[in-house]
Amino acid sequence: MIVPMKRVRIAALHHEAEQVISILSGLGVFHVSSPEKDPVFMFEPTDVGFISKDTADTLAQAESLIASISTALNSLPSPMRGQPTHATPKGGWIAAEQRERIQQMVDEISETARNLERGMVELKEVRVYRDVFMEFSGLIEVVASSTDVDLVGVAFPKEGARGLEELEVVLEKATGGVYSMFRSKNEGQIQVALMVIPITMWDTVSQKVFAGKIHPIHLPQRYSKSTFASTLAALLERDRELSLTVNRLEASLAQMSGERRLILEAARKGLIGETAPLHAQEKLIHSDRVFWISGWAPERDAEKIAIELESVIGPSALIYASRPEVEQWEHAPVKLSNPRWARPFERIVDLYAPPVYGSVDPTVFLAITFPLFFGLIMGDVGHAALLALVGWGVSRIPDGGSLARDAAAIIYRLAGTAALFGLVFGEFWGEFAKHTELYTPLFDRKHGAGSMLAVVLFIGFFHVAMGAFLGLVNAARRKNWREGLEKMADIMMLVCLFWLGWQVSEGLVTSAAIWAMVIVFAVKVAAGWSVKSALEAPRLVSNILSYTRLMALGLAAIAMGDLANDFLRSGMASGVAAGVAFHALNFVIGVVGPVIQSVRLHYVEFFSQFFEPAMVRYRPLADPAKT
Amino acid sequence: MEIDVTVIGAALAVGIGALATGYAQAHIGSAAVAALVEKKELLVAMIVLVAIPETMVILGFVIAYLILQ
Repeated sequence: MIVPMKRVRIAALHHEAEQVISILSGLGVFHVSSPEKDPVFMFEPTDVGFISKDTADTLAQAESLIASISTALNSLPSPMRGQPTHATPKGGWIAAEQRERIQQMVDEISETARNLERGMVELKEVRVYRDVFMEFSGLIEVVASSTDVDLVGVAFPKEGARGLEELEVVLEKATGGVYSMFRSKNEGQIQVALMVIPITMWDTVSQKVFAGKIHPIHLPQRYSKSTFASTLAALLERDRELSLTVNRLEASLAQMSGERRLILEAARKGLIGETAPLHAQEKLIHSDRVFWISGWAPERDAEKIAIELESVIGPSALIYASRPEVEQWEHAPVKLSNPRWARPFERIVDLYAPPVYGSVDPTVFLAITFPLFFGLIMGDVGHAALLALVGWGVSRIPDGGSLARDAAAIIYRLAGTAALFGLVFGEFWGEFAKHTELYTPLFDRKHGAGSMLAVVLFIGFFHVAMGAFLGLVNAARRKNWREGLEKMADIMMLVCLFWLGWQVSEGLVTSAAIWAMVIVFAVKVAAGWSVKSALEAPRLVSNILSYTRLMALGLAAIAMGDLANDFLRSGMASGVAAGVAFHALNFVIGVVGPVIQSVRLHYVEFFSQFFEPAMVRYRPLADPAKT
Repeated sequence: MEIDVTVIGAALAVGIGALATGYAQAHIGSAAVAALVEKKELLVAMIVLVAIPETMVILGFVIAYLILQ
């Protein structure tokens, strides 16, 4: 369910502003909304934002430090295996001397990261020259000792290698064919070629070849020595030096990552928490003597705010809390609160979007139908056992936090329904169980696909109808009777469709069912009074047919499993290997496919009947020491 | 040689549906990856969008099944 909220407005005198914000942060339940002129308080606003110059400076410094920490953290390599990756701020506010220490850490990391980047760029450059020198050593030595010819190098990105062919055409014209080109066989990203040109033609080549987009490359002065041998030696020496430097800097950053990542993450969290009340002060509206702030708090906590403010500030603080009107629902922040068994599934709803305030929270429904759909598709005891093992592995991820816990809870639930349906279908790694004749399945979905189709279509009817019913509830809560009538017509249309489908399966279609359908369709179009309403009616049919994937994917998995078992029964080593590989592939497809299809059936077929995404998530102002 | 037309019909139902699904998924998938590079939070929406054309081959499969009954 969605936690009921109250709109809370607070007004007090100027000098009480920081105290009010501090109390609200301490309570940790007040969600600050954007500044707006409030009709409740009749003061005439003069400005938005109630923040002194000192506070503004503090805020700017903190934000700058947060940005520096973020950049430094991005420069650090990923944590090593086993290193904790999440930090919790300890001690709340960060003292000035701690800030200086943090700034020093950030500066050291940034400096090391910059040096590493510079070293890697130069190392890459040196290796290109080194490779060219080694590949063309004979040519370079000969040309270096000649006074008649000169050597020119060109480099193109690998994908622009056609440029070399075009260059040859231009060179041919410029020199009359008196040139030689040697292409590098290097496998790197850059295509290098050296050209030997008579010195007498150098001016012509410069004007006709290198005047446009193509430029010759020159060995940088710092590597250029008097002889070929000394140049190559200098390049090799620099390569060695840079390799050592890069390795040293990488090791240094890795060490810093181990030692400082947690401290910096904690500092960033602390600073973000510290700046939150200052940002709240920016949202205060004030007149000459009074300020006021608007926000939201859970209904049961709104009174707590009033009691705390009145006891600390006294009668000069005005607090007004009210339930939001329907028109305000879209601006109300949303906080979900579901029974413990359904709570992990809030994450699946949240991935789409939280539901708008005042509407139905689908988490509880999803917590039932999502595992049901998954189990219906997978329906294999062997796959379910392995999936449960995966769930156990997820639950054991070190520092996985609540995400790993929720993921494991969902996986266990999916494995449970898959095992249940596996028992019903008698499937253990495909149809293996049936061949052992130890177990008689309650329902053979492979040979009873017709019945399975009827079952999944019925599930589709039920699920879409449930969505339409929730849409009706939402419309009733908003007192939008036209939308309610449309949703009612949807439900009636689904009933008529079911009736018609039943009659078709019996081979007898009555005119009463057709007329009922026509009348309901007319009601829906009249209620919506738009082309969209008319087009939505056939969509209900396609929505229901979409649930046939619950049968189709399961049958495909059985076919794959049978193939794998045929390989295994061959008894040959290669057959057994192929069988195991097919089973592994079938398991991966058997997990990913049902998850995606179950998600899709909920997001597209179910949610489209009623769901409206919320604009705002509940993010209360909180003291960093308490979060 | 006697050819069972229903078998050809079933094959066409699945085959054409699969080709159409593959064509649509190839285009949606490449666009989705491009969008994800810029906006990672679109991941779920993209997974759903990529899964949408699968309806064609699944319905083709169901029709093939009904033809063969």
